[in-house]
Amino acid sequence: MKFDHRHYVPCLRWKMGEYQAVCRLSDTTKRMFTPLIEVPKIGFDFKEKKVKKTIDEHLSDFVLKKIYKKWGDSFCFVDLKLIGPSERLAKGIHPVKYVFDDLRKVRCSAIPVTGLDRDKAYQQEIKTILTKDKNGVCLRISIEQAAKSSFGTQFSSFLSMLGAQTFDCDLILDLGAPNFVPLEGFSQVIQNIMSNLPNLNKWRTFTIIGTSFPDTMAGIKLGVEIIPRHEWQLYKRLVNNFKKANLRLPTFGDYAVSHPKVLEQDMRMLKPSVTIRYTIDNRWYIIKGKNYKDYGLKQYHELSRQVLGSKYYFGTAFSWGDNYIQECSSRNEKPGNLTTWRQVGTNHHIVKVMQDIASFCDSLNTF
Amino acid sequence: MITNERQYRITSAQLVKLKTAIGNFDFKEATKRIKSKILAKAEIEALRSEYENLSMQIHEYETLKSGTVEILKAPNLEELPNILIRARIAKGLSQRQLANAIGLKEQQIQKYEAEEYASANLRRLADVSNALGLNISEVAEFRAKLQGPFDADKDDLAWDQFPVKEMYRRNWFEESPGSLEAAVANAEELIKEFVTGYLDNPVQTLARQRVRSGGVVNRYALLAWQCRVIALAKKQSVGEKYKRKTITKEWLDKLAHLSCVDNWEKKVIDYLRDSGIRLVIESHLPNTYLDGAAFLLSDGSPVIGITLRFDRFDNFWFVLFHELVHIIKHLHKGDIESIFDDLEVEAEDIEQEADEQAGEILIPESKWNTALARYLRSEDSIRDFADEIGIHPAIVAGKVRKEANNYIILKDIVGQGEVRKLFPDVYFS
Repeated sequence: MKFDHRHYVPCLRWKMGEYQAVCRLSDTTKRMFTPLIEVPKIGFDFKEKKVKKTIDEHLSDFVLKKIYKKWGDSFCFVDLKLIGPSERLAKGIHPVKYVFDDLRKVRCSAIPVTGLDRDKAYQQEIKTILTKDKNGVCLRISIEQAAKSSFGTQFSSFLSMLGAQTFDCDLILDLGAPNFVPLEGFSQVIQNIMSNLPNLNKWRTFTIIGTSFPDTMAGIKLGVEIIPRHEWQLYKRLVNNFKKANLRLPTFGDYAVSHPKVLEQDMRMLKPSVTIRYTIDNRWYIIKGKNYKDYGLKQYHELSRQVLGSKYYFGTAFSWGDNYIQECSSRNEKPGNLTTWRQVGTNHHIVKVMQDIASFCDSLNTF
Repeated sequence: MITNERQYRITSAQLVKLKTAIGNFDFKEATKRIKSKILAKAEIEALRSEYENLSMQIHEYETLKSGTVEILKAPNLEELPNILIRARIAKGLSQRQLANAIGLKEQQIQKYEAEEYASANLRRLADVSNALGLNISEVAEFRAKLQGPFDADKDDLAWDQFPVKEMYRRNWFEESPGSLEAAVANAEELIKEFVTGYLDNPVQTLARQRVRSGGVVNRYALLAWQCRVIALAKKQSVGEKYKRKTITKEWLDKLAHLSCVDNWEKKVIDYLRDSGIRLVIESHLPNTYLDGAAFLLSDGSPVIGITLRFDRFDNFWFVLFHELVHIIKHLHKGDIESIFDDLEVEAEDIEQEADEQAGEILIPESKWNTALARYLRSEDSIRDFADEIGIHPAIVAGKVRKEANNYIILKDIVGQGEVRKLFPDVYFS
């Protein structure tokens, strides 16, 4: 695996829709990207007014069933930032320790992810893992942090606190979900920040992730809406400029077909609409039906028929997700549920983005 | 959705209560009370989301009522009921007025709107659509009827069009007219005296008013307001006579920097007065949708009037600079004697110029283009950028909200409710 600008880093909140989407990719495809796995937080049961599981239950089979069986033992980034900082398992075990002990047992080459904003206990666990596994560490930095004039010094003392060397570190610059417009101004801002990052050439890997995927489907109109994938357009612009300036080219990453913000909502009160999130050139084709509680999931048959009939459909052989759309439209497959369609969207997205990256790199003539 | 004044009042009251509840929320106490941090958090989140929901409803109702919405479109028939309700509000019709127009009882319209016209038959929908002037073509479309040009040939003013009751309430008449009833009875005389006391040729002044507005505006109310502002302006003495060349880029920058000093509200007035410009704060009259105005006194010295219709820090500063641009650039030209602005309306020609230049003075585009705040829209990045260019963060937050077309975000730093109270002598309804 060559982890450079030809590689891809999707950041995935590792729930059923996401890990099933990844699981269904071929082994060859899996070698061409590295997921940034976010261990999801424990769901909240609004009816019972308590968390659905204990942290012990939440994490007990997470590594074995959800990472190892779905992704295998290959290189991946694992981030526990969504788990509450005060959570501890029985006997006071820190969740980071628990997860990485399990990953070690299955010999998975997982890299722990940390950032400047994690608490002391979290950093201590990272330090221990770093010493034990000697696999390095992934540093996930926000643009707000990277833009501070004190960032260089803050960062080098952070590295020495962890006992890490620059070449052991995978650097991820996380844009989150900013406003990208005007793209030209924003790319200037990002370019300034990136070119001022310390030791740009020495990091083991260097990735930029972000998304313009909407935070809610509520603002999407019924029917079809086409939304720009600004992060991809920004990335291409950055790479072209970096190439001219002879700077190290970053790897591309995004949030697939999700928004980074995690909303804890009472599902009893919500009536989510059925949607198909279908990634196309530079944009997303989003088709939205009515809410499934009143109008049912069978709407997915009709929605997939429309995707299939649109000029954007990539064909049934493109990915597992594309095949599912075809089968659902001809009613050979059940309409599934919201999770099934998260899986379809994510699966198609990963394949599509890897294809985008390959043709973009081709155009750069870097092969 | 809020559909009538009663609901509007109830919702506004609820909003105040919620704001207090959020302000008084004691996280520690709540955690102790329900024995769970998560539940306490959920509780405050629920309050916040309720608050957002209600303020959105209020914002929508106010926007519709203000008459600034010109076109409403329904992408499909399912959206039609929603458009019918919104078009009625935007047209300024009450439920009763609509009911009267189509020969129904007010309660019937209330019922229809509450259930989003679920039980209305096609005939009824057509009646309502016709009454509201909806254009059902490929999509349902509503265009507000804008007021035609003012008839300048008239040789006298329509004295009965002045809002005499409101003027009485605000104690604008020099000599007490006695009771409200007496004021109404003697309205013409009272108002004539009031208006001619401040304007040499009110008919001409009215004809030369330049009004930016999206709805039907009572121009007589604007005239009354202008007289009131003149009355207050004349009480202010100025340092020196206004000279155009005093207003340099440095002068404007210095004024913008005043936004982040203590007691700015006094310093701004003094700063302008030193250069011969008078600033008056006077709340707007009903049916004027006025943010601010710029005009010249009979001796040619400029006056800016600001209504604080939106009680926000960013709004005050934007309006101030907008009116300043009018003074510098537009008031001496041609027939324009006074300019009245509702800044929510899409701008054209000199209005566009004033908008753009006001924006440029406060936040230069060259800096804004590469400002992290423009892209992250976070409080921290906004504060950092405001610090860097030396203006109040609320002004930056206001610009972000306008660009994002989202007036729910950043509500904690735009100084909502912070400006009017700095002018305790001014009457606000």
